[in-house]
Amino acid sequence: MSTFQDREARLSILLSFLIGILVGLVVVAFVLLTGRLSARMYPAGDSPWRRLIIPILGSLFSGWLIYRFFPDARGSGIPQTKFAIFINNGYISTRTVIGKFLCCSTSLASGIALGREGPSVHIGAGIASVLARRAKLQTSTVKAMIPVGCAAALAAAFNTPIAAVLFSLEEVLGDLHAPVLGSVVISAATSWMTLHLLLGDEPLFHVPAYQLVHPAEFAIYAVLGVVGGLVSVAFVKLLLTLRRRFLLLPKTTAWLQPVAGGLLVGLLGWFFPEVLGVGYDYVERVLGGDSPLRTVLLLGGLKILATATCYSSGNAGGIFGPSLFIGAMTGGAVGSIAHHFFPTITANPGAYALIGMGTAFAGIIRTPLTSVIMIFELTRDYSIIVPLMISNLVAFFISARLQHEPIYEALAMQEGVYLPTGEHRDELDEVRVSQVMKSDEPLGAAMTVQAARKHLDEVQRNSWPVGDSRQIIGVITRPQLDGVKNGDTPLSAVINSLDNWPYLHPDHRLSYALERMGTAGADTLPVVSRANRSQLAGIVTLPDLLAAFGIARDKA
Amino acid sequence: MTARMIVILAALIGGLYAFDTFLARVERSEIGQEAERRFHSGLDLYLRKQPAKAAEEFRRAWSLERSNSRYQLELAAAELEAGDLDDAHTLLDDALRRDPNSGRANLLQARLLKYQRRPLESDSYYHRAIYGGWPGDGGNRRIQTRLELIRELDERGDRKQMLAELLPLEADTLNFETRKQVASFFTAAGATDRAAAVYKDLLTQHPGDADLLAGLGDAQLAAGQYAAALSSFQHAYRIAPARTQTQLDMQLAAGLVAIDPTPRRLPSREKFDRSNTILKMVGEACAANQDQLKQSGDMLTARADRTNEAAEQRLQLAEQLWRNCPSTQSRLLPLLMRKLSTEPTL
Repeated sequence: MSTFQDREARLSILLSFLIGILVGLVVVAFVLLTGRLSARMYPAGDSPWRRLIIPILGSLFSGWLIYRFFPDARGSGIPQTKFAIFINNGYISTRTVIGKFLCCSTSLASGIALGREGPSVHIGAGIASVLARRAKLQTSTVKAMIPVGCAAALAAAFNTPIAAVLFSLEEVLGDLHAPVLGSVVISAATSWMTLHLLLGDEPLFHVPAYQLVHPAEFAIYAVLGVVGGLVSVAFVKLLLTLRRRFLLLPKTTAWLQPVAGGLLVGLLGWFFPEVLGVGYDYVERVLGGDSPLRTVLLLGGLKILATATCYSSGNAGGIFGPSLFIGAMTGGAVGSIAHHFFPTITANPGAYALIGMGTAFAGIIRTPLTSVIMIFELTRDYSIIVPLMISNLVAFFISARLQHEPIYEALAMQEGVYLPTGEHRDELDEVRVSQVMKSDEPLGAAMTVQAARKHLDEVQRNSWPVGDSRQIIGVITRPQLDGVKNGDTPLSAVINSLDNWPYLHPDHRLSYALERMGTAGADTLPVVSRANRSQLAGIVTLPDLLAAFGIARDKA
Repeated sequence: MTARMIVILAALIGGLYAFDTFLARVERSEIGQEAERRFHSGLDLYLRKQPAKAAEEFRRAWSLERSNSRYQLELAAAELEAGDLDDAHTLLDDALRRDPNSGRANLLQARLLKYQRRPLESDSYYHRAIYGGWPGDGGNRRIQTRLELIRELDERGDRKQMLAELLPLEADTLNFETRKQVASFFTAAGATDRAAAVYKDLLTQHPGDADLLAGLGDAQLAAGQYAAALSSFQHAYRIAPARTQTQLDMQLAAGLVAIDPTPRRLPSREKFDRSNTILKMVGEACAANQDQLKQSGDMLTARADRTNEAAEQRLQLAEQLWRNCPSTQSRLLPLLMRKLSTEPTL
């Protein structure tokens, strides 16, 4: 058994390297191919007709591909990746990977206002899943390889390896302490090196050096957090509402629905070419701080409309990139206004646009830690951290208050899938044994086996601590009691010592308590002091735990 | 993991690497072409004196190819011209951090500091530009940069520093136009002998050049050689009679010749009369010191022998009045009084 586990572990490490290289290569190909296709579709000095026609044709073609051949290639890919982890035992088909690559290349190159990072994550997760299955790894290991592929993809797509690791743990797995951390780091680093080998050290955005002009700016960054949070909520609610409407349309129209996004983008692109595609070129200009307020406001609003329509109508593409665009515009607008009224104490609007990107990311995607690290990696400037944290946390708080379900979970719910949210897991993790334990009396050591049987029948439990109110000496279980023929035998003769029996401390998490109950096959466990194991702090029963999780109530 | 799978993976990685390399090369080439196109469009706009539009094109070129410092520096130059000093400052900071020895970057930084009215720092960057690296030989760019610095010093009236910058140029091999400029700057710096020497040397090669003759006349005027200057201006006028400035210079030189009291063989009476005229002119131009003005009035109305000593008294009083005199519109008096203050009149 141990040899088998060692083999799995060694193979996992080897696969993490391979996944890093392979995903890095595929994502670089995806990014380059999309870019070159787009350059051919929109040559310099093109006519506005192209900007109207090409998004329509692109969405029509990719919509048909999705409907006919690759139904799982729709949308961003992040919810689908989470489905794979939490529902499908880590299964993503080769067909989905190919479909995602083709459909997203087509739709993004045609100017659909969606991003390439989400699809890259799905492609990366798919490659990891396929490789792990081909290597005949256990199902649990295949599942564990999904975040490994995600991190590799994001590291190559964004050129931010640390943020990629964090995103995989924070958003995809929802657990920053996941045991796959090592493999995730390996794949992200390998993929990032592959990217550098092919394209050199070009950051996603070239930004001027950030500077905090005056401490009073912290207050303005908090205001940016408020505005960014509200804009994020508006975007998410609009997207979810439109998606709900599209899902009500007949299934037979699914191939045509993406055209709604293409048509809108085409019409907007006729007048405002910046709306087309992910729009990173224009983001860079805003980061330079030289865009007029009116333009920034207009483009921010149009991008929200275009992205929400494109995504909800079923086009292939993600919302990472558009989130950054929307954030940059929001930050640029707040920065312009602040700079207009307080020119001596505020930085260039570009600095606010930079913080705004992280703010919108934290508000829309709801991964505040990832967004802070991502913007830090993009700028490579330590001084940005504190303003970024202030703004991100304010936006995150507002977004969480006004839109309870995070966007990917909400999208999954619209598909009829209920994913565990990181916030829900956190809430449960915050509940400790001390909050559900009761101060029931243990059975006395002198009590007879017969009396103990009667007690267990009354409380409907299969085990119970033995001792007195101050000291515990062991645990008695029903199988043990049933094994004793003489009912007058005192419990002290048959009890399990705590050396051989699981117990809990008051600060243990409920999930840990459940795990220990499962291991022991007992529905009651003693809770003892950390300072003195013999000192009984309380008793926890299975119904109490389940009630805390909201699953069942102890009728007794 | 089977051997077959390993082979398939190796082939897949090799194939993808080749595909990516091909795509990356195509991308670099296409982006490079687009950047170059934008850059030339920017240059065109810049030459047509549309720096703001040129900056847009340069910015686009630079955003496509960040490693190209030429795009970055031309963007900074266009932004300087368009008056966008903050952005130019950011760009030049970055450019100088990457290559502190870049002649072009240092020159633009010098101009930026000049616009920001920080002349001493600006001069320092001009020097870094002069001794910095330029593409190719860079000799001509260094000379042009030094001439730009000299022009700045001329505008600030720093004649001593101007001369210090001009002297190294004598060692350089300069073309005709540049030597003409150098000669003119020598005149402005007060090195009139050097200026005249350069003009005369150039005139041996281009004897019919009216500009050179006029420049020589200027140098001679500044040196107090009014008769020689008049002759040079007359020569220039004969070659280019349409030049109004030469006519004005000729009249000025003639006026100076007529009033100059310093020629050695000038009779005492004539010297006295000229001194009287000069004192009268200075008195009219300078009304600052009422006591001296009264003294000059008394002197002009008093009967006196027309001797050298009487002439000398009048000239001394004229000089005293002139020292406290505000600037005048006339070119004649400053030239004449400068000569009188440096040359003995007797």
